[in-house]
Amino acid sequence: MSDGPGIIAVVNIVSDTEAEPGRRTRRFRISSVEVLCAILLIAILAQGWLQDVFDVPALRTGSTVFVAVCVQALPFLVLGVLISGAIAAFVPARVLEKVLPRRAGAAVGVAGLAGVALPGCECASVPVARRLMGQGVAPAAALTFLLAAPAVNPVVLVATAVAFPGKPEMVLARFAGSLATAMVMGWLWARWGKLEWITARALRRLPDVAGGRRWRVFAETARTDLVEAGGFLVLGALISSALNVLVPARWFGVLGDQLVLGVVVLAVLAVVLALCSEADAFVAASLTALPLLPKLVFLVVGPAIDVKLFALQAGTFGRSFAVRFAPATFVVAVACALGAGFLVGVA
Amino acid sequence: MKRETQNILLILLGGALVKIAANGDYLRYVKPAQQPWIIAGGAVMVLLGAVAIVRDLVASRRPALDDPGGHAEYGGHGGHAEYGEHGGRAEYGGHGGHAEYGEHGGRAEYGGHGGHAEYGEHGGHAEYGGRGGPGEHGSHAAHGSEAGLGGPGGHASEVELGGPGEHGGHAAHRDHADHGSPGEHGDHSHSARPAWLLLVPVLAVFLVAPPALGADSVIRTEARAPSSAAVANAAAFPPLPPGNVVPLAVNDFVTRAGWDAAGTLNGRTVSLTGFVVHTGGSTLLARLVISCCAADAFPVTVRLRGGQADHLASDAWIQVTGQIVPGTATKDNSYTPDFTPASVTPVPTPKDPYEY
Repeated sequence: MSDGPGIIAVVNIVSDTEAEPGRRTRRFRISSVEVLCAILLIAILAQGWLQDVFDVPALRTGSTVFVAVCVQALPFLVLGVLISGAIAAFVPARVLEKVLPRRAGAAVGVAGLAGVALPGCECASVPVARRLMGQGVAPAAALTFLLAAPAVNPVVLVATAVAFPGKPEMVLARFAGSLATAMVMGWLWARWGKLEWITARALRRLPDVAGGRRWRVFAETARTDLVEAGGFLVLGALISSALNVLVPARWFGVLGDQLVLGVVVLAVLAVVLALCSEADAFVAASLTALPLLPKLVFLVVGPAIDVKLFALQAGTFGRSFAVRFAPATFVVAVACALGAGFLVGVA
Repeated sequence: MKRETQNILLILLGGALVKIAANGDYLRYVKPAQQPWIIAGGAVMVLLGAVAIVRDLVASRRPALDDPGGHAEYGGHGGHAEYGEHGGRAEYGGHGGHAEYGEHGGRAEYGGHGGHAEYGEHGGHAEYGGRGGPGEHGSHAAHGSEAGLGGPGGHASEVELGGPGEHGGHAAHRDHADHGSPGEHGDHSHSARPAWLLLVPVLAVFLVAPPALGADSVIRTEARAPSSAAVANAAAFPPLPPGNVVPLAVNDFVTRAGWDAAGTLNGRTVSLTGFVVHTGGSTLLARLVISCCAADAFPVTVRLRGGQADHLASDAWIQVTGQIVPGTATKDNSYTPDFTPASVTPVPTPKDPYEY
């Protein structure tokens, strides 16, 4: 216990400064509530100035896109934290253990198919996956669910069919590519993933709760998840709206016959634009200059990983998880999309 | 960040969502079908924040929970001490931290300064959870994770089954240990700091209230073509309805102009509504089409040949009546047909600025 003395020293320092709040006569300290009030007051006083600053075309466009992404995604995040809270409060861990196969490999398959049945936005699936992990579901299976739920559900597939009428192979290839991405990532995690990459907070297991307390645990879990994930969602929205304005328009147009470059650029675009998985098919379809294969890559990569999701994952599962998982997902998604494209015959 | 602050932020953000959904401003950002979602999402946010505030208030009035033998002192200072049940004691929920679930004889003390000591269960004993907290003084601190998060000596996560009576216990996985010297605040509200970002959309909605996308967005994304058109075939275009002037959506007009082999537009007078865009020496009438939210908007444009629109400012909304110049929408100009306006009338900005 070489660090024993250090710890004792720390305790002393803490109690010298501000431990034992209840026993001490209270001093006035600036807390976050006062900071919040100050920020609000300043912002209200500076409203005219703020509006002038944002009256530049690029900033105006960027701020509109930012608010749009927030307004679009927040309700889905709320749905996600409600499901997460419900799992925490009403689904004892042993039920989940019973339902899922014990072997991680098989559980990944079940989780992938569960994603098909549950329509969810990618923002909703992050807190749910985290809660599943906390309740004892194998991380590989929870991560497969995380990737599958937003990508292969019926709503997304119908949207794809509408955006690409007369091309059912796009729907099939998207389904196959996304499901393969989710499962391959699950299996990769089962084989090489390390639990310590995930922050302990995400893995924390809630004790099973008795009847009377369930609603309180439900509300409290949902609230905490929302505060944690919400901030990161906003961060993702900020990044994606900035990139939305900064990405040069010609990226969309001039790639016509360069297949490889098209694939690369659209994979990157899928990450930076951070579109909702229900909408990305329409955007892909609007890029008429491109062949179908790059568009398929766009559709498979987008729901699996984008800047908004990366921010959410970093916030929920920790940075050391996100910096490994996100690039791996990107590579696997591109590969699966290309594989599915060639198999199904999308050219 | 304190619990109260988080709750206030949730109420503000939820309120912002409900507000724009109720007054129609949401149409600048998303499609109409989203309205019930936004209202429900905003309402749930307000509710979660409000319930937490009310419960904290009630708890601070009545510090000891009436559980058998339970003992919760000083839920305190923004923190809360919950569920000190079965003889458990939760003391000093502490500055913004919370000490929860001191169950089954467990004690969660000094939930502490922004950190939180949770789940001191099963006889466990999570003390000094908070900033500066050295993890556990922990006998059997099962799941005493994140006690002392970010405190000097660091993030003793997953302290499982710590040895009895030892300072620090057997910290099974001592992640990120020794980040920082004693006295450093470290990461003490690790999970809550990004929550400040929730303020950004609140300020954006209430103070800046960004307008709907307009000319700037059209110029930025010029190179993209209408999506519906990309795959349309002639059979999809029924003849235009009879009438002297046929009102058409710009998207419909452009699609027919580009892909309708039967030429249903030729020789017909139509009226279109959109905003003015000046680019590359020509004047366009444009409309943005969204499928989900403004982030996925793509423009549909019509080139106006002459008419008073040349003198109007960008982003001015107009209604034009006139006829198409047949054969002008090609792949090279991103399917922007030419249009000869017979009349150009300024109109107010519609509540619903996008096409879908």
